Amino acid sequence: MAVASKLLKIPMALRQRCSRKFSFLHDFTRSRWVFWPALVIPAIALLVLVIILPLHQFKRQLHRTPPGVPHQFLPIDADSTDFSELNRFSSQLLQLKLDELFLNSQLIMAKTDSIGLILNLIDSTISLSLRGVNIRSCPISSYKISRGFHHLKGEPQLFQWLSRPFILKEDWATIPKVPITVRKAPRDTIEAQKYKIQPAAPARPDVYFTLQFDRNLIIKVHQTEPIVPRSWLRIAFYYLKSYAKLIAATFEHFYHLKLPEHCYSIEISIAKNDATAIYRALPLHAELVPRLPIER
Amino acid sequence: MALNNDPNIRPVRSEASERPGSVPSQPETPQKSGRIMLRAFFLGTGIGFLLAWLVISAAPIIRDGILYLMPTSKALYLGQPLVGRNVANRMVTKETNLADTNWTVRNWDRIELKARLQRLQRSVASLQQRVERLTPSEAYLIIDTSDNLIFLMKGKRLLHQGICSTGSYIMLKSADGSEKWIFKTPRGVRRIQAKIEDPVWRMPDWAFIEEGLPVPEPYARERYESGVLGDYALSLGDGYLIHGTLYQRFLGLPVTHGCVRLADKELEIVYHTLQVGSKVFIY
Repeated sequence: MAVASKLLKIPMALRQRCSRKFSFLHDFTRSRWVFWPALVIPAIALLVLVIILPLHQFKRQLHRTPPGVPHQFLPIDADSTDFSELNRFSSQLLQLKLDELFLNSQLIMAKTDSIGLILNLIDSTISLSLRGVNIRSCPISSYKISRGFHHLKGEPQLFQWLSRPFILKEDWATIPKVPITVRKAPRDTIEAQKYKIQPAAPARPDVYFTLQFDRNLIIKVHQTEPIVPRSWLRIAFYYLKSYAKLIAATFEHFYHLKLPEHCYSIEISIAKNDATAIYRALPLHAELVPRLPIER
Repeated sequence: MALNNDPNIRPVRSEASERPGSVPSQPETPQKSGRIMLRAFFLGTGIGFLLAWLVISAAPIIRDGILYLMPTSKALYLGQPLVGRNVANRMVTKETNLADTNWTVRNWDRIELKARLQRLQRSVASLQQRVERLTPSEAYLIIDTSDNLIFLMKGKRLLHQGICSTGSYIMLKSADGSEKWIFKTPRGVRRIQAKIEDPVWRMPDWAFIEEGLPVPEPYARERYESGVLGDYALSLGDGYLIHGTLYQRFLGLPVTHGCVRLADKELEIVYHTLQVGSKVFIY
């Protein structure tokens, strides 16, 4: 009871302190002309620069078709009796076109010697591929895709976007990419016997990782298994790093006098073992071929 | 409180002083006024930038939320325009207001759309075949260095699965720090370069350094050890081998210096199934 009453007093004390601090707004009305603009202008300016203008630019770029190429759109006429046939045509056309792009990108990826990633959200699998051979296929427990993809459906930008594999630019995770242990050579056999390391099963910490690709695609992967308490700090640092990268990217755009671009993100959940294997197998500049669920 | 005769100091009747029971405020001096303005500015700017920081942090979520509310397009981009008799009527651009124009699917369009559909289906089938031809039809080996497993495959069929040991990812540094070795199994595609029966291990320098032994001459007798690599070995090039082991209890653990160790049974199957030139995929 005493603790509860003490806790209730804190907001009251905080309010009193705040009202004392801001009492000058009551006492000196001219200061309001300085205070409120200083408070509101940065927030509104960033709201416009970071949310409204990028969205406007995003919507404008969606409709942009390749220059010099005649373009056509297949409209949906709700009043026509051919509506259902049109719908069927357009769905089939779209799906076939996307399948064509998916297979083409796989063939492009197969020409390289490095391990690539195939993200098939239609079959709910994520696979490692090397020279066109599927070397590890893992089931996806659940996934979530950002709303921006739905706006890409049926737009010319979608086909351009999926025309070739995505290239990995940056990645970060709760586990090390290469788990190296440094060992100093012993001076003699006695020291060698003294410090002989007994082989043990490697530690399997909780796995959360983010893959940032070119063309504004981000894949976030986390394990399906629940987190153990000792991983909380590691995961907190991971989220802090993701947050810091977002802030840094925003300011980098401002520095180059550009608007921040809208990123398409996909979050998937897979088993811990699979997540570990995939993260450690992917090299620098790995390629990704996605197959997205585009339903009309 | 006596008022100063200084003309710069003017008593100001603030709103606070007009409230009943309030204490009359101090006279406002230019310095005090300036200090209060500065305080208002810094407080406002500080809180404003805090709000701005929150806006940046929440920007992706807010953008996604707005996109959720925005309507999506009602048209499908076809790419190449349909070619036919009434070309002018069928050229559509995004600026055209679809609701105003009377659109129906003409017979000619329907035939051409069907033809396009069939062409796409043929293209997809052909690409599918090309992708499937990338998988080797002869036997190949997949080595998983993360879970320490091997998969012996033929086409898409699994012939045999077993455990192995791969690189330990230990970096050994010499006592003076001038040399270092990283014991890891290299990733990528390799081919079997040679198949060896009753292999003899030629010990490299690190094998002596990590035991605290003096490094012998390059062709000294102490460098050659038989019986430690099992009955068979398959060479992957650059000194990496797939071989057997005396330490069967460590199979499944990352304990090697880069080679791939197999149990006797797995080694025999792999040795007799793979040929020189067979592919080995390591990840």
